[in-house]
Amino acid sequence: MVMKSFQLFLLFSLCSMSWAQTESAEVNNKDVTELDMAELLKVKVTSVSKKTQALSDAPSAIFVISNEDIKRTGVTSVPEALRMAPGIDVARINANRWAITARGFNGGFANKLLVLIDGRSVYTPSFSGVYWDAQDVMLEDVDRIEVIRGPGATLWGANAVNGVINIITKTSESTQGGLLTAGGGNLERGFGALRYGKKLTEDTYGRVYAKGFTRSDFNALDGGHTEDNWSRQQGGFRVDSRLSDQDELTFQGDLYQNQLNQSFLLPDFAPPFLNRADDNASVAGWNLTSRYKHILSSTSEYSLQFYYDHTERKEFTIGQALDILDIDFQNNFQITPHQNFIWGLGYRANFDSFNSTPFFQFDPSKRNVQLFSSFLQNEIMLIDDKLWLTIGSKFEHNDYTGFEGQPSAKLMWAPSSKQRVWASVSRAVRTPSRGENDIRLLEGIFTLPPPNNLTLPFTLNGNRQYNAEELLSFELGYRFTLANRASLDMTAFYSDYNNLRTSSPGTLQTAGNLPFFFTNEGRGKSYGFETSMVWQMTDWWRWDGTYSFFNAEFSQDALTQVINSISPKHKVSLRALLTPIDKVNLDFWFRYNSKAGAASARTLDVVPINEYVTLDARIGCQIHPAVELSVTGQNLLDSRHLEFIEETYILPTEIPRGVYGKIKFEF
Amino acid sequence: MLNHTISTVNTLFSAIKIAPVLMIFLLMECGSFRTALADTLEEYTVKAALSLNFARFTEWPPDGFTANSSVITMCTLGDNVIHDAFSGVEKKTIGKKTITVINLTRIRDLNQCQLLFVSGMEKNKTIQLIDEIKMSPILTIGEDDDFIKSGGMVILKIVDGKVSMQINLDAVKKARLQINSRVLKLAKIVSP
Repeated sequence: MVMKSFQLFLLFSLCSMSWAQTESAEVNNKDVTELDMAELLKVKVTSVSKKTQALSDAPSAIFVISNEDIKRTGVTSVPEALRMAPGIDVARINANRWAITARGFNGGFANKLLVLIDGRSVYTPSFSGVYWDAQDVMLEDVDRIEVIRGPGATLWGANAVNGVINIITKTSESTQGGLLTAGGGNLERGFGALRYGKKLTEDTYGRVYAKGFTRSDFNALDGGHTEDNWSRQQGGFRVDSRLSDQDELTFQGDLYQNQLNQSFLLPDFAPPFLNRADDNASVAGWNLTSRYKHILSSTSEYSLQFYYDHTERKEFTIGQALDILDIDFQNNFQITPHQNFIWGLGYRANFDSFNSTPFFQFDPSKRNVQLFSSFLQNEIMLIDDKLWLTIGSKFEHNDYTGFEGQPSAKLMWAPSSKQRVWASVSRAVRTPSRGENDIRLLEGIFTLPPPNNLTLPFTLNGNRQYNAEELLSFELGYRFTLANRASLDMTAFYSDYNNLRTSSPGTLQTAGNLPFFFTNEGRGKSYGFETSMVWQMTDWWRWDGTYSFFNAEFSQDALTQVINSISPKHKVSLRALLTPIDKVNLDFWFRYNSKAGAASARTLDVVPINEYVTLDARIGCQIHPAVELSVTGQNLLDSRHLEFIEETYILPTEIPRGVYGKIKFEF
Repeated sequence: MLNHTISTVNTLFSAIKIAPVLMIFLLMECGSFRTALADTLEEYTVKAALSLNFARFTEWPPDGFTANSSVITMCTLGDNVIHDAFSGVEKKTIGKKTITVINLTRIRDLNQCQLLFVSGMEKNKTIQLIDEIKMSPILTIGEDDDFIKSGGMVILKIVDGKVSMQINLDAVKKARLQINSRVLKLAKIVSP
């Protein structure tokens, strides 16, 4: 399968190469530089999408999902959009949950990926991961999503272990006027969004938005019914003001609430020791961010960012509230024409509060945790506009493990304007979560065989001596563009992990509780490569493809348990973007995931997930300059398929086929 | 479920088997597209050629050519797409002078440039950049109205699928540059 896909890729490249030769010959025949100005001003110009030509100058594995990509795929959430990126493992657990990771270790509580929305970290310190059900943005107002695989710790700090996702919304200036969308379908029961942007003063622009949706239940794996429908309402604003030629101020905020249902399989003392329970959960929150930027000269600036983020979750298994206060300062300047220096300071305070249940308990139930951080990075141009060396390090102090240093060294070479080669070595750590320190999780009820016939609760417990997980990562990348109509980006990596999370058995307690404790006995290595390509085959037909290969090996001794999910070895995504007739867009998106495995805390085992292929298709028609109609079909090849099983209590759920229609009106 | 997946995979396999045929078809598509392209040119190829013409029809004050008077240096600040386009004007000659292109990946040593093409720079940074070099004899070329507002001299902007020129004469004069009247006739004269 993968070989076949590869042949396909090769053929594409060959085709574009033959293109390359003929085109350059043509340009030479008709030397543009010999045309006079009047002629040049008369000629029709083509603006080939930047995506097919522009090569990133970042010495890291970066992939950009544009606003256009979001629109053309018809995705309705950020997690679904991330499926476009190579090396990112997106698996939907049920209607309202996702397991998302980069380079392995996937899970509903995946903890090695850092996610930021307009500079605000949305990672939850209770498990060092992201509650995707709590994160949403007005997708029409997203400028781009930058997906960086590999450690980003030097700039972004602890927990940017295997990747960083930056969701960047447009400035208010570029979202002027009104935008109304509405639609619905079988899974997307109904959705709507309204945004209005206005110029407030000569140098100040603002926008407000409100959106909402209701999504229906998926299908339980056992063929039965699952309660996982959800609805969400969200609103927000953004104001961008240019105080002077040198000063910019941004102020933005969001407010949201979710009503989400979930079906659990919970541990039970009576046979069969598992009990199905349905829950109406609520997830709500708000956040405010302000960002001030001062430009000192064309080569130096500083910025100061402040945000406050409040979230609360009320679930049958746990209740939690979290407040985060964060302040960040950054300054960059040129030391010499060949050296750029950037440094920063940060402070974050987390105030949390948990309501324990028999399933999840936190002790203490309230804790304040602080994080101090600083970083410095120097970019040195070794050969003028050809070779750069970037070295830097983050220094952090957290309340769990004290000081952590996260250095990196990166080299970037531009052999020509059509090629980039880069290599990097970096160290990153994943600092302990609140859970790894203080949790008591009821994993299951076990019965000892006769004659004992004892039923034992089996728990997983936090450990105050728990250390940070460590990563040493090596990466090598190559990008090139062909004939301005095709580009290819390849990254190979090798990751060496130490102190990985394991669970070790404690002693049987008098209460008849068999406790396991979080420990750091795991070691592992992973390697793989990720590639993405874009080919503008004709003016009206573009191909976007990605292929990722991943493999990991973990070691464990007899007593400790290291249970990691198995990420698919092979992942393929191929999109065809067509504009067959003026004002009509036609899109196909094919995806393949080879077989994988989901770790289960309940059975201490890895549950196999079958390989799957799926196809999305969308047709969009601009019936009027201000009105677009579209129909999107998702996961069309199967009536349903399984992508993941959550590691704790969520009822295993399959993803059904979905179809929805949408109208977009701009005014 | 499994059977279903396998059958889908099989279908896809057979679909991929016909891929070479598809490819030949696509190659032919490429071919037909090429001929269709004859009357159009890539945006930055045109902008680079226009910039070359500005180098041809601009007079610099004598102190604008410091070290080597046999060379006109055109600098770019932009991504690899810009670099690629400007490599087409490298080594062209204007009278006795030869064009040298320097693709700057960061702002530095701007005094070596007689002409500076700026693409994709943030507005605030552009304002600072222009402010820092406004008295230097460097012809600045940008791509949008903001560039003129920031004090830039020339913009090459796409209007209805063609490049249109706008020139801010005040800024040109302030830098003691003279643009040939033949060029001025083709452009729209604007002030910030």
